[in-house]
Amino acid sequence: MPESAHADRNLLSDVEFRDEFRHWLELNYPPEFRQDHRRPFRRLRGADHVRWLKMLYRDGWRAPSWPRAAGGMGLSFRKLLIYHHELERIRAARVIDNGETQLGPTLIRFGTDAQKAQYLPRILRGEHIWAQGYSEPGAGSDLASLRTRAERDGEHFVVNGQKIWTTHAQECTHIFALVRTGAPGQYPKKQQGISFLLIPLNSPGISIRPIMTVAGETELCEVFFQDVRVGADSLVGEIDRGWDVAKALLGHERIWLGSPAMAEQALRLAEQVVVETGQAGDPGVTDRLTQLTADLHDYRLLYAQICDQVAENDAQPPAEVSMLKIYVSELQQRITEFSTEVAGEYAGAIGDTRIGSLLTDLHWQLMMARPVTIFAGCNEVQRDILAKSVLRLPEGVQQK
Amino acid sequence: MDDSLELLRASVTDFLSRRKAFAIRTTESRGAPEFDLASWRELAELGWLGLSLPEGRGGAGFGTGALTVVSEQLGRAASAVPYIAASVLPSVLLGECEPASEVDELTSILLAGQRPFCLAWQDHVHQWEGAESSTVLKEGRVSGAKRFVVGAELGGILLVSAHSGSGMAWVAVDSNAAGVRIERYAAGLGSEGTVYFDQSPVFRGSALASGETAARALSRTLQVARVTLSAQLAGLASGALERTVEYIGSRVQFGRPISSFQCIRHRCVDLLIATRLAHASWAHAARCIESEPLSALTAAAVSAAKARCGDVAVQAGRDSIQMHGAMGCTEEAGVGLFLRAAVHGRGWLGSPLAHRRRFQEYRTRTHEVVDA
Repeated sequence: MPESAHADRNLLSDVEFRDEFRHWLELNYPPEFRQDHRRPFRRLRGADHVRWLKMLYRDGWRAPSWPRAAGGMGLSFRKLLIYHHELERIRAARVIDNGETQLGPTLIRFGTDAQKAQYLPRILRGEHIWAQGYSEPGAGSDLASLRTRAERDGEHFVVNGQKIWTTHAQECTHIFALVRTGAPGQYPKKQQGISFLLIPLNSPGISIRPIMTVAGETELCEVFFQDVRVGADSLVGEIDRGWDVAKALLGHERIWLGSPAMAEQALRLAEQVVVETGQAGDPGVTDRLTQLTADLHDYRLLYAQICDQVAENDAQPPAEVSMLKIYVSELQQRITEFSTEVAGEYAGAIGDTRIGSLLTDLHWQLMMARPVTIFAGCNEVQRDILAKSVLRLPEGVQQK
Repeated sequence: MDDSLELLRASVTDFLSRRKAFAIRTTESRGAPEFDLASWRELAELGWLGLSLPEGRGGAGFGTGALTVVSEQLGRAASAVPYIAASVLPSVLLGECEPASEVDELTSILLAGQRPFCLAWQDHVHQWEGAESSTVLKEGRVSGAKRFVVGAELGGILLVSAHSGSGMAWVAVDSNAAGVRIERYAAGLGSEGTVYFDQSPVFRGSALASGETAARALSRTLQVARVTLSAQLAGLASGALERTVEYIGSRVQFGRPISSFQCIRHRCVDLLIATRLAHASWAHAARCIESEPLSALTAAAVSAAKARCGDVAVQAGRDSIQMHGAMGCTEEAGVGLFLRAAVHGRGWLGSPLAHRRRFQEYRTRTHEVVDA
């Protein structure tokens, strides 16, 4: 596991760090990757995604939160905030990089030396692209009900079952999956008897079927496993204790889920729609736009306040960060719905639409904002978590 | 928050917990309640009436932050103490006047809690600032009428904005002076009034401030009062939520506490998020006032806060009554006080709609709000 060969940017002052990253982005960020009014929530995929990861790797900007000993940047939380802020500032496309954000930290904490040596450098170099194999048809919000099985067979596990809502699986090389290894009836709780496995997606017996979303994207997939054999050394952590491994992942990721970036992009589009449809002087329309603007303004303050608390204490985010994801995802929906409503007849068109000087796709932005209240723990479940862990409301019934 | 403000917060909560009668006052008759001068003097002894005035003028030199600390806690307790009307508005205004013997004399009466003070600046509903005024100052006497004078008390001292030959002026008028008539009525948790002046003599016969100074004094005072009122409204929302969380955890129906029902739990979580947004908003506005009081950025932040906190306080008051069930509709339960106070504070010093429009206007005059 080679240490990063680049200078330790954590030694820079926050301002120096910001300026250096900003300068690098301005010189290097591909203009065609930026968010625009046509694709306000653009996400990099396939070759574009790999190209971007390799650029970051080449110049020492890859894996900002990994320790330097693992080849990352080892940034403080304060500098991580700056890093994310600068990406938002140039309207960088979103990136789903499970290898860096999820698997890497998991292996650093739970992996064997051999696993770290095999996987971490390849994640950094953009050679391995990882999918997350958690949800199943019968296990969404109730993830611990998952049924995909792995049976031990000598030096192998044999995997059978199905995952679903697997983002970008058709473009990934590997998948980390939660699978059931405990025998039926072996454990009292369904969270027990689950294991965390690393599986190459080119293994015989795997088939992948993309799912068309309401936005017309094929971002999500079903992944089927039929007698898929993987080496016993692909188990991460202890057998039957994979739930604890997966749970430890949450951490700072829950903060980035609260990023105001997508709501900001949606609001910029809404402003343009109001102007280009000639409604900038309509007090009814502008009052509603102003309400949304004020909502985002105050939300940014709350987001900054909670980020500051985490940075000051350099601690894991408290349970209350769930409120960020709830509010900002619903705000993003309110904004995209507003744009759709005030656009009148234009809103019915599916695909690129020209409204005055604005080129947009109102159907896409509306539909792309639907899953944000569902993924990463739907908002109803997030509210349950806050009611229990922050408000500590008595339940009065036995919880299973 | 620094240690001295943390101490102040603790002493305010302590004071309020010892003074239940002061904290919650239910009205059987709908008449305007009497001003509790004895309790007011206790606040004076604690030094809370001049927290933001510089030490050179008899204050504690704490700045706007201290005013928001006190107001937030008063809100949480649904306290009837007219702190913003009788202390924040008049003390900030006097602090904005050039030092002069009559200003110093009034300041010391105010800080000692000897007389209730209030600010009579408003001529009509939805008034934003004080540029226009039909109250006239001529040869040491004022004539005219002021509306929505929160904390207008018999036996008090009114700081009155008026028009004189040289533009706007501030004068003090004793409510016992000739030609003063106050029509008091119950409003929010306290009282306010319409005040009529007919050739009423002004204190010491002269203006406290005139022209540009007088106009600037009002703008600055309203700015501080708006953010302080925002903190109080946010405090009301938090207080209502706290009481509701306590109630629903003990109220049993269908064999279990009603806090176990998901619809109730989610409603409380939404209030929690709303109160946190409100807090983030006013805290930011208070910091802006301290760092750059005159900028468009600050004006936008203050208006965002007043709009947010007014709306959230009313939402919390309304939802809290609902979650208390029929009990919430009784005066005795006290939860209705939060809504009553919230509705008053939401309208006072600018409605959410008016403030959001200001917010939009000012923010377009400035750079992007968040830029690290």
